[in-house]
Amino acid sequence: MYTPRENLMHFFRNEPVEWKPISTDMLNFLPEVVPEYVARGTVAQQKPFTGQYGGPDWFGVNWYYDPVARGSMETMHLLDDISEWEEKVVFPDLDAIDWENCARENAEYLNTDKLICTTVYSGIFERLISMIGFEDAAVALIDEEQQEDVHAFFERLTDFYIEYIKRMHKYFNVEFVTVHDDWGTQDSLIFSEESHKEMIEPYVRKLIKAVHDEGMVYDLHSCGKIDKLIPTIIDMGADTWRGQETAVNKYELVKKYGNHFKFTVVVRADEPVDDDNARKKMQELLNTYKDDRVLIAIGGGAFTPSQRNMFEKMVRKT
Amino acid sequence: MSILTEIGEALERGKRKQVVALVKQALEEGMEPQKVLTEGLLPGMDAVGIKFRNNEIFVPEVLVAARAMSAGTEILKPLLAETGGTSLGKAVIGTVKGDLHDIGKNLVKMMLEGKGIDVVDLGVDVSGDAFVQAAIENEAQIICCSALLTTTMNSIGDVVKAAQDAGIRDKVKIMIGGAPVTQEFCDSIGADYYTVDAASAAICAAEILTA
Repeated sequence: MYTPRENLMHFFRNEPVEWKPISTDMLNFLPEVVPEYVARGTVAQQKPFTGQYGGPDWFGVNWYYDPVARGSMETMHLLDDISEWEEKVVFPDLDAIDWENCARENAEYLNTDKLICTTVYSGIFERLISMIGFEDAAVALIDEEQQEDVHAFFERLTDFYIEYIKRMHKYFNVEFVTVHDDWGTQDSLIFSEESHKEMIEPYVRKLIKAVHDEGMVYDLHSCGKIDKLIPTIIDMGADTWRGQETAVNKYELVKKYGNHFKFTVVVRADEPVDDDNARKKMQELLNTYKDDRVLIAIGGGAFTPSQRNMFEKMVRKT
Repeated sequence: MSILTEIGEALERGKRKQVVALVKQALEEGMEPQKVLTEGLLPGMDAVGIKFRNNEIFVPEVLVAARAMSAGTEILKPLLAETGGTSLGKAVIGTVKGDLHDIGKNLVKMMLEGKGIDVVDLGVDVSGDAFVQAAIENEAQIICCSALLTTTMNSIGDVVKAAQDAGIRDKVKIMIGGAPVTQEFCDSIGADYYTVDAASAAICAAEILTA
């Protein structure tokens, strides 16, 4: 019998699995020593977080956390335009964090048979947005006068993320990295495929390669209607992709690309549901993807712990 | 090619400096500011909206064009005020309570402005009462509200209710949009119009204001 971690790693290595992998087979590790997770309101660690969510991220961008939305939004931007980045952006000093002490403090939490995961909440485009705002970031991608600075910033940022991810692997045995970077609107890409290829893709490729070099799994979280980019996402080497289910036809994508890519599909409840309806939702998902190699994620935040346990038992029978 | 056509084409390509120069040139040649706006800038932005809706161009290109439009209208504004030129009407816009997503909302705002509509942007996480208050204070004919999340879309209903409670329901049209929003949802909460994207929203708003 595989452990949950083993089952997931077999899944990502295209080897036989004992059950359909599910996100409850993973353990999120988002320690508060990384200011990012406090700013974004997502700390997950051994000691319950008792502080205030929101505040400055580790680049100094301030975030407002809304408990109703269960998310954070930046309240100010660091730069007037991206040409200022070298002068004004102070990259976090990873050596200033006592990683070994953090590992000791979380030893019990991390002593698990699950796959340990972490998240980079701002991929390169979203980090650019946090620096100069969405509109300026979008324009910077196509403005010839700004593109050189954008490239230089993305290169430096990617190197930083690689170092961060290496440390998360070294000190905490993180083996699964989710990188958030939204590339789509409700009904289209935010930018053209050409812009993506020129401005985004080189750095995502570099990051994915570094993640793979560490023996880790790369999960892209990108919302919006980005189905046109699925071939690129596969080609860049991402191991799985999850995104907003309402913006794409996930089923069609699984049928079209599922033989050589692993999609994450979501059983979701935004409002509380009773156990019968929870079971029904999961069974429908399992029936839909009966013959497909997909990773099941539990979304929406409304399923109860006991319903999540029920889902675990249900997938173990697959 | 007429200078008005040149203005429209420069705007489509997002050439802000060129738009500014051409607008100034048109005025120097004695053209009425209203004509520069309605036959130069607005058709250019209309073309941008159509291309955006057809996925021929994307958000960055729309933004660049919108900035060119804005630079052009900045020159015209004082002259239009002098000559009695007016906007098509006024809309207040925001993302509903509990929702922090503003990208779609910002696009709609730009598209509305591209139609010659004055827009009061209330930002994100806006309560129903705040929408209504702003509509009253600004004498807006339209309230535009959006939600990206299934968990927050019900807050759109609060906007409709707040407008009813304030007694302004017959004075404003309520337009709604966002990823989880549908025509059925629009009907169910008693909003007036659902549009599927930013360009459609601008067309709809312009039709409301010219009806």
